[in-house]
Amino acid sequence: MSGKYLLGFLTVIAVLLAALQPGFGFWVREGIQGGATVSADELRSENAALKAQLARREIAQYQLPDFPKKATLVEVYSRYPFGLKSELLVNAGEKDGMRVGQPALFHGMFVGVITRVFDHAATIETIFDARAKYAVRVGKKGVDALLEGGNEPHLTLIANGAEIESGAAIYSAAPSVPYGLAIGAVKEGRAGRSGLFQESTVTIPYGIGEIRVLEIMTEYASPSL
Amino acid sequence: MLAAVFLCVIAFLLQVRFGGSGFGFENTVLVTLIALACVLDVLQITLLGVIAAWFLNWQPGVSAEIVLLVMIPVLVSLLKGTFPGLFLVGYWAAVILGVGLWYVVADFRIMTEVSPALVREIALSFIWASVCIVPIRILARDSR
Repeated sequence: MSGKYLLGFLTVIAVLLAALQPGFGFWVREGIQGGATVSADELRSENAALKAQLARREIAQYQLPDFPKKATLVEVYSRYPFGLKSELLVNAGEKDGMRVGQPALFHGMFVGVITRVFDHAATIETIFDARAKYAVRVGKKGVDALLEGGNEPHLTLIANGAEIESGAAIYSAAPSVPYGLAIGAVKEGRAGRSGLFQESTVTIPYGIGEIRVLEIMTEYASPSL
Repeated sequence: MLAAVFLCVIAFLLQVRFGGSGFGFENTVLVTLIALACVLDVLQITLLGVIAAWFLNWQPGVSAEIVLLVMIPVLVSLLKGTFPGLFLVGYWAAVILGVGLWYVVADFRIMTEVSPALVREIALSFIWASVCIVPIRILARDSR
């Protein structure tokens, strides 16, 4: 009988710890996952290099927006630990100026949007989430496509006959996201399952596990439709 | 109980280290808790579930996934006498229904589009459940 009381007592303690100290779990998982923290200066220099690379590709249909003047650098606390969804928790929340719908960038590339805010934390649904769907344009001719998220994001709903080449840049064209944010590049095209549209695989030049610091475009307000 | 804790720690390390990388360890902890619920009593599995939820919760709030991580194994433990004498039948019924319930409740929208990634995750969850059978059978034998 005393064993049951002990188990019950330990369970209550565990519930209290889980409620009052959720950060301990973040810290433990961070230690197991490993990975170095990227400094803000490294991030800015890499962003400038990426912009130069894209400019050299002579993408004529749009201009890359300037590096957002009002962007907040945030650190990633933890990642969604289960399958299919892909969410990040960052260390800034409503009291730090975060709002639902604000875009998040990594190395100047669109990663996702804030979907929930707490006082000093916020969750971001990334493009690696199976639920993520964004209208995008591809390459110099701005071919319309739909980016579908998941472990391997891919493009669908590309018109048959539209020419897209391997390596063509993919950029945002959704009303809920600033226009022209770089997302990735076309890897390989293929015929769609229905035969009515083309599809293609996508190259994203980073892995979700590499993300330790993000830029949140705090000045951007998603237009209400 | 110590063996159960050890199995949970292994599952936790696999899920945190390799989950999300396509190896199929995304639900290792859930499957392990469901498997252990077939041999542990309600208090024991509740304690393990709450500790697992504490370490796996990725946000300050409470989510459906974290509640399910605790409640599904508790439910399995309460119902484990349903197939007396048919341990493996009860075991696989618990794994299939528990994992299925997880996906349906955690995000029903995902279930409306059966993607190859979803099929792979579920299949690999069952493979992990097969791996857990051996230690679970040993625990079941020792607890008699």
